[in-house]
Amino acid sequence: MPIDHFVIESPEAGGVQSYIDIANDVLLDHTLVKAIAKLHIWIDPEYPIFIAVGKLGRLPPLVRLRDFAEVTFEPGKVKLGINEETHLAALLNRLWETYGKNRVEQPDRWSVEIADEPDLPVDRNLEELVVTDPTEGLVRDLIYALLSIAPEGFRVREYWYDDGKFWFAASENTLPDDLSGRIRALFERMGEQL
Amino acid sequence: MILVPITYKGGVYRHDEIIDLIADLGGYVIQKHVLATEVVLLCLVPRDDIPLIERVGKPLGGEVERSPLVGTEIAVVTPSLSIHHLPHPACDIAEYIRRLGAKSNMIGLARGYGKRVAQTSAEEREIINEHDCAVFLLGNFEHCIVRKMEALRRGIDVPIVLTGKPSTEVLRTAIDPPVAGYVGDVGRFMHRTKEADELSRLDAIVAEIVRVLDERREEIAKDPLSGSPARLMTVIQEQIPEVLAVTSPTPITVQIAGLRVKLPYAEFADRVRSAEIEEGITIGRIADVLPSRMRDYILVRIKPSSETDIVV
Repeated sequence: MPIDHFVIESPEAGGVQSYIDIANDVLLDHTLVKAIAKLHIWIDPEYPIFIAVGKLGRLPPLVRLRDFAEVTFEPGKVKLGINEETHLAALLNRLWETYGKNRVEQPDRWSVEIADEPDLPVDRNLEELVVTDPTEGLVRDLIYALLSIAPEGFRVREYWYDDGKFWFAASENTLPDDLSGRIRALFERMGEQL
Repeated sequence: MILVPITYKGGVYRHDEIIDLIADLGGYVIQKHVLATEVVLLCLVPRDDIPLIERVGKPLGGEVERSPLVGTEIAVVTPSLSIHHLPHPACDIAEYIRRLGAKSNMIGLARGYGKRVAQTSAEEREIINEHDCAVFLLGNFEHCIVRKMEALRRGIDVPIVLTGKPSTEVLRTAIDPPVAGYVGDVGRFMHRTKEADELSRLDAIVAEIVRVLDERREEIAKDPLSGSPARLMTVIQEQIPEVLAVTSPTPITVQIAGLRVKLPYAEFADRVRSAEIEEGITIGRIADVLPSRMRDYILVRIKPSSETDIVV
């Protein structure tokens, strides 16, 4: 597994290898192995609590309009020639939010037109518009994968993600008061600072 | 005459000759699958006649294998039906024991997860108790298994085979009072069982189920049943032909000491009770005909001969 740091710890040593296998299988199934740089999991069946802390590898770049469309400014309208449909739904949502549905038209599958009105001009820098952030989907998949790895009965859950670092905690009881201290300690053992 | 469970696999062509042969020898075909050009028969046949069936089946491309679980219905119980337990390992185990002739039913508990909150409902317990034995598939930590089993085993009367990640010896020591069987080194996993060591664990589960069911058969043999479940199956098939139109793979499921008849209880229970086995002896005289908790099926529990003074 090409993860720089992949450690699972538990006071009951007999279950550690099983959770290494489960984490391996789940991350492979969700194609997250290449996305994660570090992962440290602590499971205590006695309390019981499951804490996963980690760091993502190189984050995927933002998808901008120029990456998949050609923008042409014409009198009274802006034409977008779509080269790839993958991000079209997200693009239409962004345009509807910004300009309203009445100004955005899609005459055919491969083109979108925005009405350019003098009092409500279209952004001249439209090409740089951020359409989607693939990291959002990646984090969603990551949390789903951690839910699958964690024991099923651990229904009290909390997670956090920021700038490539994440933690996920789950328990059958209320989460312990010293959760943030435990998380910080796990980050340190992984060679990272929270 | 001692009947032993076997599986016959062969071509569809002239397979009816094998079915007739088994009937002539006094055996029973419990289940018949036709898969494209292949037919699989799960049967109970006289032990001494197996070489004869092999000899007759050979020109038809037929093979005979011992299948110790033919004629049993086994509950495979998982703490829930979520991604944590399905399709692996629950489906793998249910499928594997089905290959050896058992009718396996998967039972995903509504609230079987969590060591503190695990519980079973009355309906779940009653459904599990309608089987010959229950295989509980628990997880990876001994601590959780011990705590959960206290709650999950409550009200279960049939023999329990417990599986989990700790070794068989650890499970045997940890569970108190003991259950009927233990299989360690299984636990929760998230991939299909296909490696040799994983398949050997499935074999270990089958071996433990066979051992537990043999003990149950020995127990029953001390006070034999008033009639053989397989014989009652043929009686019901002959006298209630509507059962032949049921589309379920096993319209009548044979158990060690009973049957599950997949017909509506309200409509057919009286006809099952009054079905005649021999002159004047009806199924109602030697068995309790009860409503099953599984859909609206009929559950037939055969009474021991000491209770009825009849052996047919």
